[in-house]
Amino acid sequence: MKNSDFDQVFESWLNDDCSSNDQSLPSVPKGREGEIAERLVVHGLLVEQSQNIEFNKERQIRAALDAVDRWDESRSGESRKLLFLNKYAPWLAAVAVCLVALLFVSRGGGGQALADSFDKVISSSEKLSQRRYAVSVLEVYLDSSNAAKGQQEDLNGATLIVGGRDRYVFIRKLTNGYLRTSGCDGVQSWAMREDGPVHVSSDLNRFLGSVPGHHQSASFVNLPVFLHEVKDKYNLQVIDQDPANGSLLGLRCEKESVSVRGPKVMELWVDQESWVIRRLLLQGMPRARGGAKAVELNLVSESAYSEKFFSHDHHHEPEREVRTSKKQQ
Amino acid sequence: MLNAFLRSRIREQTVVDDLFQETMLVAWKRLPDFDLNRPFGPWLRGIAHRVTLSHFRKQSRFPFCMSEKINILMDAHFEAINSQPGDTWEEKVEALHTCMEALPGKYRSVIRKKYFSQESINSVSEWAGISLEACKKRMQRGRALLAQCLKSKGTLFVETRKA
Repeated sequence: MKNSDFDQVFESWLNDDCSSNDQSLPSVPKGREGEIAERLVVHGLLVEQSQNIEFNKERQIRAALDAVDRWDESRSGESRKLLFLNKYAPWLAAVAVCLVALLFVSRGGGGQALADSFDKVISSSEKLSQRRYAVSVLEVYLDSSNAAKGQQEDLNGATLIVGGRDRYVFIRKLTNGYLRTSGCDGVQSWAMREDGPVHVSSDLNRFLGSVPGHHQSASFVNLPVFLHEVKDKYNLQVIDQDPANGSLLGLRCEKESVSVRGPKVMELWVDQESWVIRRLLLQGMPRARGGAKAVELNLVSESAYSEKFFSHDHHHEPEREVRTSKKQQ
Repeated sequence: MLNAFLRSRIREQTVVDDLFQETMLVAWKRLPDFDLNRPFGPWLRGIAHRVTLSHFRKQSRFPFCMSEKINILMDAHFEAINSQPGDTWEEKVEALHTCMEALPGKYRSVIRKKYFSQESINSVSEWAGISLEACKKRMQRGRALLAQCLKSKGTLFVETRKA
């Protein structure tokens, strides 16, 4: 088979563009095995990363556990089993703990009350009042990736002002000393450097890409949207009341699955009367953007809502050039 | 990791599920044979490879992706991923997302649409306003650029040719 014919069939297979019975593909042309293996692995990674992995993993693990149960039941000789268990007890215990945690911890014990509390936090974050948070970087990745080395923004000392769903302003310093401000007024998102034009887009997530910790559709910058994702994809647990401030309730959120993108663990310290987040701790931030590993947001002030504040006009002089982004192709 | 390993050979989700389950069951049964001094990943992938091979044998077909040489090379890539810094699989494949961001827009957009929005290649070509053939070429080039980027970051294994 000619190389070009092979490529055509192979690409059809990768693109899912041939019938499911058509998997008996021709053999790989000599000398191209390395390239084909590489393309298969990239394809596998893309499929794995793009699917609803947490759902699939849970389903797969449940099925695997059932199969193991059935196999165990069919085995005879209790003593043999005990010997096996004794020998591999640490292994089995670790596996069992991981699987059980993955399957059952998420919304177990007191789950409804906890979910209700979290709903109150979400609905409070969606209220139209301005809450200003100071951002501090607590820890950075020591082996910062190339992306982090090229990072031009300093998250430490940044200010985040949230005013409900899709309404925020995020101000941080660039390494060259200038400020970069980005935001969203619920209709359009925008971003500008202190010394540059204003970039505006109707894609509300358009300028989240440069924010460390940004993952898929949500970033902690867009707090209400972010909290909705946390509720769906993280295990929630009450930590305790803050001993220094009895009115604050601590909620710990841990990823349900390693395939969920975003910080590994979060701690939310919320006011039990207003359900406003006073302190938000994000630990194990994704490495892809920036070198920050742990970040803390502390509520600095609350003030009356001003719709205009979230519009870019409010943050620059009238004569500043405004560029509207074209739809990305 | 096991998911990505199976996903790089099998298209149908139901078959991936079956083989995932079968692999886990075989691993459970053979746990007493596992040498704790050896790495777990290659052992599990070895089981997955044999389980997949047996699946295709039952169907009397032998896809290209199951050749021994391809399997060895794919395993080397997964081992390279496994050696990346990070505690979790997600951290180890973080470079994939960095590389996606670094792709030129025209490649990134079709790959996102195909994989992350799970659109058919026909829909992607219509959405991008290009012919089906051009769309397939763009996908192919985009994946090749991703592979190149992943290799430059050490996430994929780089084969050194003998002189």
